[in-house]
Amino acid sequence: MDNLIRIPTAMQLCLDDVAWHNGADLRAIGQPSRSGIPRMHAPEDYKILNEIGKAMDMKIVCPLVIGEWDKENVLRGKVGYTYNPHGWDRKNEIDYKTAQKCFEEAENSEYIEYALHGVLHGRYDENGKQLSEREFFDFERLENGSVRPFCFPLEKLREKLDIFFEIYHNFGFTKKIRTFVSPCGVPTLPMEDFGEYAKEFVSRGIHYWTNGWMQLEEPDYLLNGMLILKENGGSSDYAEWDAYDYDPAELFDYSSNFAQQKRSVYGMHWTNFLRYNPENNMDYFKDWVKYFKRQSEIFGLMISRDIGFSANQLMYVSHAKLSFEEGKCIVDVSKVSKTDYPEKKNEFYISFKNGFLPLKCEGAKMEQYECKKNFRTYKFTHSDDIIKIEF
Amino acid sequence: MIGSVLFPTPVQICLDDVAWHNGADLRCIGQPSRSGIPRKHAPEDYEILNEIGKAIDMKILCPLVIGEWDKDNYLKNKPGYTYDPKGWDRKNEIDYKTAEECLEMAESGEYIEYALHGVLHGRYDENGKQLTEREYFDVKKNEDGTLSFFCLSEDEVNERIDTFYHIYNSWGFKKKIRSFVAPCGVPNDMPFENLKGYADVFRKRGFLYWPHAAMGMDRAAYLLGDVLLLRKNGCSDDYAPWNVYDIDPMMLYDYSSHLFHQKKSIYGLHMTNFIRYNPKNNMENLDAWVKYFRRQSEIFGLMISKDIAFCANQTLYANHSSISLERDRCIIDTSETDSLIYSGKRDEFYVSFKNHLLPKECIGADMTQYECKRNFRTYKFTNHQSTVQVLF
Repeated sequence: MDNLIRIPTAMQLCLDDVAWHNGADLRAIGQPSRSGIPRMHAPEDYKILNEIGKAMDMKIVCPLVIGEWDKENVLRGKVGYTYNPHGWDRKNEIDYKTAQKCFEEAENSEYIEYALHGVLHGRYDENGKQLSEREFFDFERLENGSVRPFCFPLEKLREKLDIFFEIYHNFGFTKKIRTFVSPCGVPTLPMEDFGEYAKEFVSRGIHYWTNGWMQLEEPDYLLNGMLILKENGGSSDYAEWDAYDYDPAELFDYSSNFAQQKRSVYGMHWTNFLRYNPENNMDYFKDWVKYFKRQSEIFGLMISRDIGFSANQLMYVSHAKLSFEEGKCIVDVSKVSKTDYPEKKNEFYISFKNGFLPLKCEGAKMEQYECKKNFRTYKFTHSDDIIKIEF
Repeated sequence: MIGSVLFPTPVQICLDDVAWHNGADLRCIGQPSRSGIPRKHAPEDYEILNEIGKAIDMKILCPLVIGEWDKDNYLKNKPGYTYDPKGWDRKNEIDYKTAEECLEMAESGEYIEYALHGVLHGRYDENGKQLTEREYFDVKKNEDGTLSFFCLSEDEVNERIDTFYHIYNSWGFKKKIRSFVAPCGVPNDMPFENLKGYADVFRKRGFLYWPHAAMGMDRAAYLLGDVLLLRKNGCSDDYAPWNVYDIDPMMLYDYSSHLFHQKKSIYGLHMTNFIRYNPKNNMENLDAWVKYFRRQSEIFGLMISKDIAFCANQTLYANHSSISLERDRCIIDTSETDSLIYSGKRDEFYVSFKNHLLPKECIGADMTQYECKRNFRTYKFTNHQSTVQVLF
């Protein structure tokens, strides 16, 4: 049956490291890896994201690193946040003309959805020496040389989030942020250890947390009202994080990596969509759209509309059960209904191979959503936990 | 008439960091900066260099870093050369098929001229910790945190060159190497006299040319024994950051618009600047690059070099000869150049004349028109005496 009917994964693009002003990876001198493109970012770098999003009708999740927008020098003298706590002077370094254009391009875009990534993508000591690129986790070095990571106390987390939003608001960013993406992923701690973080994020309206989550078997996990979404294993399976001038013809299909097929978040990096000359950014536009449209033709995948759409559909991918009884397809969504998740909707999607298309449905309103070469996808808005589909 | 006749600077492209297998800059984990492109190198990366060279008729100088070709694990347990002296195992890591294709492309590329750059572009301690990226200079950290650099002993220079050639020959590279380019240049405060030991070694190895970007060099060429130091443009970042690929040549300004650089003949860029992330796309930029270099050749005061020897010779004349103008003629005085003892010197040089002042006759040399540009023409002079008169 799996070959004929599938609850498709709603593939949601998530591009880390958006919003740096300077793209250069300066780890060699103790600064952040940034976006990895050795030039200043330009308005065209936001425009290409908007255009790709528009062409696919998807709001692309863009985790922001906000520190370089610090026009009030909020980070000056603040230990732990920057490689240069005492000399920090973004107020006088920002190229305001370009920054304003970038800001407008990002803010005006209907297809760029911000997420919280970090302040400067790292942790630093009082002299600005980088301790870790994992901004949201601390670690202790053990006698045997290994490291033991752990979560911050809540006050520290709150301070970080406050600083992020202070810089964010100072520049006038207004979009609501509902997703968190931890820089360099999360340590492989038990899920309960992240419980306090989840509560704090939810209290700030952040309901989705996507990362590699190596400790999770399932593609999703509900933690104190926050939905944890497992990204594809490592973005370098697709494209190196710092590769620009990326030719989508080089990318393999999302689902050809079978283990990743049920993971809904396609984690790549902003830089993968850029060219060295920002004026050339649009040169690969058609190829990118073609690539993503090709993914949407894969049975078992669909293109997400936004992170909420993707997350909701994933709940059904993971927790709904399909079975056959007397020629009918039975979809049992009771496990989803019991899930205590406030952002959940009573709608989801099922794909049917051509020649096996549904005619009638009980327990839900069924409407055709999209038609692909080999299959069709239907939207189900259910009123019952058991849905019966007739052919 | 002043400004209408001059010795043009022969622009010679020199692309550092050729021959890495992996391009990724891994300094953040104590490895070399490599070529800076985060992918493996491919035969197409050599092809584009050869095609550009062919289109502008220049043998492009390519300083090689040879270490990743070490198929005999010659560097294993050799402290000082690698970030992983004990675990070094290129023998089992090399992608032999790709390496073979790269070798063939490079060896058969008539417009690719190798130079010696280094083994792994750095110096390491016995545990593989990187001490400096300057493979050919020793380093010491001072109490105030600054670094002091020192020249290597002649024995160590020889050992490093032997190591380079051991790996080079093990793969069957055959081209003769006649240039040396120090990784990360020569330290800025290093007096040239201190480099004499290197020059002695290089001469014995057949190296006549040393393109060099040190800020302390106030001339475009400096003769060090029988090795000619040739000044590179100050810093390639003025043109393109070293690790940038996918450069659109439209973004580059003209070589000579920086007056300061105009007399420096070595156009120092990096291999990565000429390639694309997908090597199959490398050739897409060929026309734009050729157009860029042809545009440089239309600038009065520049010419396109044929190879490093051509460049060195013309640079020598341009820097040690003079041109004076009289009403109906110009006088070219090459006596200072003629007095220099240097194996790389030839009895030929080039002078460009603006179109309104074209030569009719020459006394003291054989003069032939070499090339004709929109606003000027360049003439080749051979069999010259120390004073050459050109009549208009």
